[in-house]
Amino acid sequence: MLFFRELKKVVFSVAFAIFAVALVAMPVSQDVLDFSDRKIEQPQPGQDYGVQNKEAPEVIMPAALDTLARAFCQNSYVTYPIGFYKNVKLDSAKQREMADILSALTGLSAEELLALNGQDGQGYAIGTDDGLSVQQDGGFSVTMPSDAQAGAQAGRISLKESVDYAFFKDCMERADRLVGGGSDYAPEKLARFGVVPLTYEEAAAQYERTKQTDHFTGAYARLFSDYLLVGVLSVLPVFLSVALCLRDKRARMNGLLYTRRASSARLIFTRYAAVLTAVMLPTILLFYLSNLSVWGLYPGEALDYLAPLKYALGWGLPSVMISSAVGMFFTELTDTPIAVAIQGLWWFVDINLGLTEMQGGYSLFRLSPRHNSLRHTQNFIDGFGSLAANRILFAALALLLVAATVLVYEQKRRGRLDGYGKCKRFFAGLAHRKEQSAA
Amino acid sequence: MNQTSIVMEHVEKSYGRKQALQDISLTIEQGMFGLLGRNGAGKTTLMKMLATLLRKNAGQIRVCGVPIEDTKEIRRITGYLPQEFSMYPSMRVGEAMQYLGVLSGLNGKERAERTRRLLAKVNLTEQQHKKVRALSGGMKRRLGIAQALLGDPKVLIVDEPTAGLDPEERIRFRNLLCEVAQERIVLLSTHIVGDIEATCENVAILNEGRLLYNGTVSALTGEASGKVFTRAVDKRELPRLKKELCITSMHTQGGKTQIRCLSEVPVSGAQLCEPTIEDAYMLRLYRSGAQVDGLGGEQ
Repeated sequence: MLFFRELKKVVFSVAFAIFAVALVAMPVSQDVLDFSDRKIEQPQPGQDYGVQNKEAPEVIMPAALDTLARAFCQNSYVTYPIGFYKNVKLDSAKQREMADILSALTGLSAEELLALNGQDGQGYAIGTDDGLSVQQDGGFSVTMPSDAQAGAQAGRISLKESVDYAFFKDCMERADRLVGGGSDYAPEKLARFGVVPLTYEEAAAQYERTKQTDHFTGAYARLFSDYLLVGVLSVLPVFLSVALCLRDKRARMNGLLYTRRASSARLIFTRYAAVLTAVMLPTILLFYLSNLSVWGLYPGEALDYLAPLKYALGWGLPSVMISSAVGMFFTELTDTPIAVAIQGLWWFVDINLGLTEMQGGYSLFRLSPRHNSLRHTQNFIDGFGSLAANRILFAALALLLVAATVLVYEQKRRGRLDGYGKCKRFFAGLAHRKEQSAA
Repeated sequence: MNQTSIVMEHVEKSYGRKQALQDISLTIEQGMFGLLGRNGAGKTTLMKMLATLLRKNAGQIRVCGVPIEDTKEIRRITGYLPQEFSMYPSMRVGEAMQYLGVLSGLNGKERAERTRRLLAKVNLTEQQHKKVRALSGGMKRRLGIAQALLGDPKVLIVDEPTAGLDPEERIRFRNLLCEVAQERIVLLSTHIVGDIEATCENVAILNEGRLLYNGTVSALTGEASGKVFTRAVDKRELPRLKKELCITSMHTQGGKTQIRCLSEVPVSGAQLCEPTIEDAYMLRLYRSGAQVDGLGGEQ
């Protein structure tokens, strides 16, 4: 009874109307509500199967060196600390260290390399100009020339023959540290330089994995999860729980509610369940709407009709849980909508960090796990353990936050906590200090 | 252990350095009990403590034999109408009662029955399908009483319920309180003396967190006997008299002003008159050294 009344309060609110619009607008704008024109085709011999990232030292080493050398010549290194783009310019001492690293890899002296500084590599060829190719998934890669081509170019910055992959990785790690971390030279990111074409056998195996593991529908549900989490489910539920909690304060209902017999645990957990239900019911519906569009594409194949439900609950729900729990906890603690800023900031940083692992980002603390592809089922299989740990961690953390909200609410009921008063006094104190220092 | 009264012993409450209640000892028996005092006297603090919304710093409070620390049981036996009563404006009256009934632990049958009975009692049956935002101020207060009675409490705590109501609605509300007080303790806090006079047999006066009086309304009124005077004065005398006397009212008729004042000794040229509870209340404040000069407002 209480649950339905709280659910009604959530659903008939402005916050929910905005949420519902965003929930529908996101998949529509990203063209993932209707997959009927995106059939996963069985590869046939002689086709172009696209490219893949592979730990292939023979590809990674020249490509990474090429990028690092260009950055060195221009003293302009691209990094993504905490997910945001940053252009790093090194001082002369650090450029000298970088020259030493390049020297160890190329055999050129540090002085020769330093002489290239600010010259955009003039006088030396770095890689080739004709290697740019566009991949099937919209990305692009630079392929390196063969040794024969390279050898033909005078003064080219290229790898010494004696450099092995372990030594190379070590040098790249040093380079990454020099530029402050977050660069593609970090050992765990080096594979991004390993862009190689997919062979027929690999493409066929990939197709089989999608067929056997995902039963096709799973792949679509996974891609749908990716978009919905990034755009909606990891951030917008916070608005619903904040609005629900602040509604008591706005209606000056706290005195009435605090003196009722219902326990704080019952009230808070019921409200939490109401927010989750209000978010998940239309979400599951959208998952099925999207997935339905491919059910006719694979006649005779064994499809997984529960895939939308599995992905909505297994992949999506933990993010909804944490977002809603953050909203409830910080709103009850402070009686302000500060939770929106907290969750918004977390979400923003997370999606930027996630940009570097679009085709399989399942790290433990990733708020929105990434898998922005219909393919790469193997990445999903490989990362499943990590993904499961991530989702369990977030669900558990969310329940802990809700339990903490119960404690906070109970303290407020007993007059032991006045978060709003404390915030007000804190900011008044700050303003007073500012005025004093200005005077 | 007294099962039908509220007993407070040496209760203290402070907010930081500000002492809101000092050494309050009070026993409140069944029926209407008035708590009178100026704004900021500590009435709301005392009410909130009884409603478990604030903790005391010292002393003992037992409500119908239940220590105030047993919040669960206190909430079961207490109904509370806060000073600023408000409900979700978009909820309908009946729906609001149902919602609060759920939170009061009532089952579906009890909720339906009590909602119907209480709305009838406060004369809101016809408004049960109206949204709360569409109710007048008086109707909202009556809804406040109805919701406070949902759990059939032994104690009803009503904080400044008549402030802002028109005279007709105020009288209706007071009668309603008297009705519900027949079977429970009703603690009425107000700064409107007329409300106490019309409804309560017993009263306590609070001023600056201290208890100034605790007893019957008639005894309080009796204290002012022989100390209330009226006199017609020239308008030019008023500034001087305001400084010398505790004037409780002024009424201008032509060039003369009829004043009503309090004095421990006879006032020359003035006539003794029957005290009201307002006179007695003002006298108590006057005696306590509270700042009461310049009170007279010309009518």
